[in-house]
Amino acid sequence: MAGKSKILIVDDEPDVLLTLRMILESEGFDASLAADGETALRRIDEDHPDLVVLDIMMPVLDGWFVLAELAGRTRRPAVIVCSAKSSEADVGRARDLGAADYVTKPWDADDLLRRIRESLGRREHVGI
Amino acid sequence: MAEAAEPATDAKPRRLSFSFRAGASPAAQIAADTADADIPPVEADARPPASSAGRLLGEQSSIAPAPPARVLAPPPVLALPPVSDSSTPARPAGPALSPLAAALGAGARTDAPLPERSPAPVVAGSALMARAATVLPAAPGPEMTPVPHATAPEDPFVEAPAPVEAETPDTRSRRQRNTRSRSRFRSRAHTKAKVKAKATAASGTQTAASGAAARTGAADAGGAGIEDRIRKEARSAGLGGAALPSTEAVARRRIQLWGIAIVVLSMIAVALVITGLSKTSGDDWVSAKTLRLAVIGLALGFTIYALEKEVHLRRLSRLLIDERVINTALTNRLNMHSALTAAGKAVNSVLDLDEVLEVILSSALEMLEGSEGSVMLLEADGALAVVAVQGTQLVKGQRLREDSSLAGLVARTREPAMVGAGHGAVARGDDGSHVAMCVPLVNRGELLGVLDVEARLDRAFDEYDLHVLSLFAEPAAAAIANARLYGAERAHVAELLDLDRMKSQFVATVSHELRTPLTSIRGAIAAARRPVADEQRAELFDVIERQTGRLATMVEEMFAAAQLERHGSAPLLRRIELASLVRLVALDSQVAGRPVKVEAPETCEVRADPEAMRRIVTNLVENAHKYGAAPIRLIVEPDGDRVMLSVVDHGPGVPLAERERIFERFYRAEHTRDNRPGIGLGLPIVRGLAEACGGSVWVEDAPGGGAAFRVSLRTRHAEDQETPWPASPRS
Repeated sequence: MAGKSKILIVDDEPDVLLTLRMILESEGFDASLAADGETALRRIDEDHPDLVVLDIMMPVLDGWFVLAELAGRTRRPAVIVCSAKSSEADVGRARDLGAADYVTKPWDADDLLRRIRESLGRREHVGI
Repeated sequence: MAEAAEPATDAKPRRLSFSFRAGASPAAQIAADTADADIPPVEADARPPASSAGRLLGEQSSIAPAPPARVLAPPPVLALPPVSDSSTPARPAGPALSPLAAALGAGARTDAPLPERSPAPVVAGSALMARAATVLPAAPGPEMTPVPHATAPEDPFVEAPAPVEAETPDTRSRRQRNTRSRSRFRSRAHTKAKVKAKATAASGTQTAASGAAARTGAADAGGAGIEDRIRKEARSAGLGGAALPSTEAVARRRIQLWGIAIVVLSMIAVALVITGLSKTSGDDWVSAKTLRLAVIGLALGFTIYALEKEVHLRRLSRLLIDERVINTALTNRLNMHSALTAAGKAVNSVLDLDEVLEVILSSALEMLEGSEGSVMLLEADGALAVVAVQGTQLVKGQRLREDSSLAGLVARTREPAMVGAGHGAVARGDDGSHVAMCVPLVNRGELLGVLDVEARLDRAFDEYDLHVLSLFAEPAAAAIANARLYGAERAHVAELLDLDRMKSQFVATVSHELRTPLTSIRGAIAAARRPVADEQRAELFDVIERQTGRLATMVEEMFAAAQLERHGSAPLLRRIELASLVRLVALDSQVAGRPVKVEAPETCEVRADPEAMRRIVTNLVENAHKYGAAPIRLIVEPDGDRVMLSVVDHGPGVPLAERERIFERFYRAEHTRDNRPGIGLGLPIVRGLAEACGGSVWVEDAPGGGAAFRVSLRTRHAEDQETPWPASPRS
């Protein structure tokens, strides 16, 4: 892995943003934040993160919109959907829209970190 | 009718006796009629409308119809008129149809003048009507037990028929109408049999077959069946053979008989003249006197023979007419039942109330050839509401209150009624160009409504039609009651399903709402275990504290909602400085990063429970932040003896259809369901608490867009209540 991987955390819950940023920074990642879908898309365009941890239920533009928007791009970050929604239909929909993984809230920090590393590893492997 | 009651000859009066039991069929009643022996009085226990046979006899022979219930009546005496010289045996069944039609139209009243006609056809036909009772076990009307009758009289002169009635214009038109009416039923029944289920036709066939069997059985049992009597008379009249003779054969036989008689008597007369003119000598082997006596004797003998044959021929032709009349009556009855059965099936084949009402109306109109009509249902306030209509000036949904209408009269009396030509004004207040019939729709003793069938003047309704409509009203009313029951059950099930759906949604929402703070708490703990700076650790503890507080609030909300639901609320009402309370809540919100602008006077007191009031304001502010958009304003406006508290946002507002529903427990507005947090309890709690404080809550469009939640509160209250809130569960 060349340098720090850039990870964008997208969630409308400030405390989730806060805690997840601390965890990721303590693990050596470069974390940035967005509280809604619109901000997220802007930051993706500006910062080009390697991975996005994306919540689904958000104001303004929700996670589905962000996923659909990214699905149409050739160069896009890996996305791990991280939502309180846990139905199979939602998991399937996320997969169809190109999400790399799906984690249900409340997540376990170690499990989430493992999935993040796996996704980043796959991404590096295919040479994106 | 008195003219028929007195025997005009030395004819032996026929005595009729019959015994009704509740539920006797009119046809069975007539069976008793064939008896002419003196039978002691029997107890008559019949409902008047059911005593159609009594009416039949009454019309026919002036016996008082419709014996009242439970009367010990002497057997009515039927006196028969003398033989009519003008009798025409081959006369078709026309005249006899009228009384039979009356018999079938049980319960109807006939006020038309009675024609003079012989009772004989009907009397003889009674035996067949008794079979009709067997053929039609389901025939409406009281059950009846015929009294076993004695042997029929053999005096042909007493029973001699007078089939040709002196037909007045009135009786003629009546007869024609009845005949038309019957043929209507026949054609209708046939059409229905084609259109409706095959079962109807099948049952008709079955009924006819069983009718034939019953006929044979009755003949065997009685030993004096009409066919046996016809065969016997045919043999006596010289028309023996395997098949029953036709009325035409009888007529031919009569011409033949009298032709021979005239020839023979003419020859005898010639012989007498010849013997009178010829000179006789003493050596003649027989004297002229003896010869004349012999010729006269021969003439007398032949005359007696011819008269005897004539008597038998007359009786035969009368019996044949009876047979034809009774067959017609049976056919009519079967057709009526087919039509009623088909209509009954049709109205019971659907369950939706509106559909049932339409089918009832169309079936009734089709069956009775009505041109227009309506179904009216009785409402709680006693008015009749038009619920199905075809052709009339009435409008669906119209309410009729006037008791002067025919429908009003029927609803009041619960008796069928009709108005003829010229009385349409009574029925509908129109120009009287219609005839109308109205029957009550009664189910299990409860009046449900009224069925109205109308026609133009060229279709004159009679009592028979009214009777048929009354019979149809019974299954129709039952179908309406069933449809209502079904509708109520369906609504109940829909309500339960809706509740079930909302509960499922609530469980999903609550689990989701629990996940969010749990995520933050778990994340904070995981982060705190890592090497982080002290100030960061303190921040993480703040996260944990906030999120556990959020969980606690959620649990509290659910508990409060359950409390409100189960016990209502008895808050402790006291003077509250609402303006200060609003500013405090706004400050809290500000601290939490959700700014609120307050527009309130310096002081503004209301009567409310402080804790309830704080929750009301907090919930509304949170609601505005969750579902609305900044800027959010908290407005307090004194308004007379009330104070209006408003929380106004600049979000999308609340759609009109959801403005009440959002105050229902667990309900979450369609557009916020998937992407906004919340468990659907905040607003129901606000409404419950506000109402407990004597206030009210609603939502409307804010001027300039967004939603404005308004809470109207009282500034004064009759007395402060000391009961604490929330109320402790009552034992």
